[in-house]
Amino acid sequence: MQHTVVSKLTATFGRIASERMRGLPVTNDALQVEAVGFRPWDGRLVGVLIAPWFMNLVVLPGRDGEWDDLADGAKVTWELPSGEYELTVARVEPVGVYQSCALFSSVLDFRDQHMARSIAETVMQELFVKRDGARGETAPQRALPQERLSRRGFLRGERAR
Amino acid sequence: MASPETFYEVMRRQGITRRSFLKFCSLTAAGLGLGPAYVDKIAHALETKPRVPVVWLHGLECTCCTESFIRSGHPLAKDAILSMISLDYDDTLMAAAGDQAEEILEQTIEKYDGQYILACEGNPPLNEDGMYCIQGGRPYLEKLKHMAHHCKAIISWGSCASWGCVQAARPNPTQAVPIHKVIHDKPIIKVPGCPPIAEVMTGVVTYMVAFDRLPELDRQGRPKMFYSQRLHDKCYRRPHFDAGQFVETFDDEGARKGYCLYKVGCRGPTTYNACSTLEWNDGLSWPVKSGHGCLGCAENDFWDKGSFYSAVPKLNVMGGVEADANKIGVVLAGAAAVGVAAHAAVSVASHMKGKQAEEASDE
Repeated sequence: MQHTVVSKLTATFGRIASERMRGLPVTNDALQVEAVGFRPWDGRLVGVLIAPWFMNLVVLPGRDGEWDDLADGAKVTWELPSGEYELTVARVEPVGVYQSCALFSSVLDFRDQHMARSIAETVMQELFVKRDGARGETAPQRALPQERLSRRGFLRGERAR
Repeated sequence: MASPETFYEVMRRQGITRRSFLKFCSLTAAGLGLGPAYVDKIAHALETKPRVPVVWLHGLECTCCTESFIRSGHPLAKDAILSMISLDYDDTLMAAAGDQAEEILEQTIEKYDGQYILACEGNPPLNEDGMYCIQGGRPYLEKLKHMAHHCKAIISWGSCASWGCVQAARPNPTQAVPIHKVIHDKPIIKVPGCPPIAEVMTGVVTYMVAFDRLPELDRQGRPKMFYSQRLHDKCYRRPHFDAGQFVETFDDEGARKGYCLYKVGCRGPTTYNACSTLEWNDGLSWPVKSGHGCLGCAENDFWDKGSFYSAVPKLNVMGGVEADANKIGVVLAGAAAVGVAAHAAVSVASHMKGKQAEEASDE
């Protein structure tokens, strides 16, 4: 089931790429349509969709017709382990209604599919890193090294976290 | 002149209820991307801090910034803002005229040297020694420099003051230049747009009054809380772009179906502003929602970038993408935990954030 829906999604966007989007200056010819890291979440499927003209976070419905009542373009807030994200209701045939959130609106600067894929994979990892009201507890560990201790902090006798 | 009254006292004197006042505070906090915890902080600051003196100058401009500002959607906003700041000088709004008006400038400098905010609407022309804009018998450039020398910070309202706008469009006969080209020794906050969204204007001022500091700015000097996302990223028509469904002409089937306006010139993909999230006129609508592409009025040189009705030829991406996967990961993680920074980071995270700020850790 999971496999079927995702391959339907990629097939649909593959067709859009070769038909409606062909030759537009917004497309990056080094890229192709690919679904990255789709996994079940709360009864739905969450993953990243790469296309030559965008990279989006995509949520697919748990069953056919689940979101048919939602208006196109409506905003829905999703709570993932890393926080809340606002997605936009979208409809494309024959997939039906799904929800998406723009990660990159132009992908012209991606060198190749490998680069795009590795970023998509990173996004999926980060999305599911739990930050349950940690209020910054996770951030310091991940902060860039030079931000851990400023010179002023050092002179004041603060310690690196 | 300015009284030591607080913003709240002025509001109460004007008959505004505490309930309305708190509503204004929470709307403003939400508009700034701050969590509920900040509502109290804003309310407290407005109740206790004396009003901030503001001098509002007009150079070459059309006054649309003022129009936007005083017509803020929330009924309280115009009262709020005009009470919050002590608008000692604004030639559109003040009663004084002539010598009396110009005298206010000197009084402000005397009383609030180094403390007042200089709000600049419009820009100075440099050609013919500034003769294309004369105020009170002298070139606007002189007045601007004089007032800037004694101010605390400058707000460049609108695209004129921030970038130059129409009067600086080619061939720019008056040699009009944005504020940052003539003032180099003061912090300048650019709030571009023609005009900027009212809520953005009130938000910036409220932030400065409530927290007594400048909002975080991006590399171009714009407040990150409002200018870190492109319209395209949050556009409700975005799914049509993704699906390759475009309006080809303004009266076609696609136009009726509300397809993406990219091919008829929409500048959403290259314009950083809050129109697609805050919208205009109290959240009623915005250009794309009314069926016309974005003109990109908040971007530098938007008049000189070709026809408003031909597709943007090249979509460049600012930040993020050139980084490798690891770096993106770092940015994403940091932004998610810091919360407020989520609105700020020009990163994949900022494109995805909805209400992340609610997780904001106290600064």
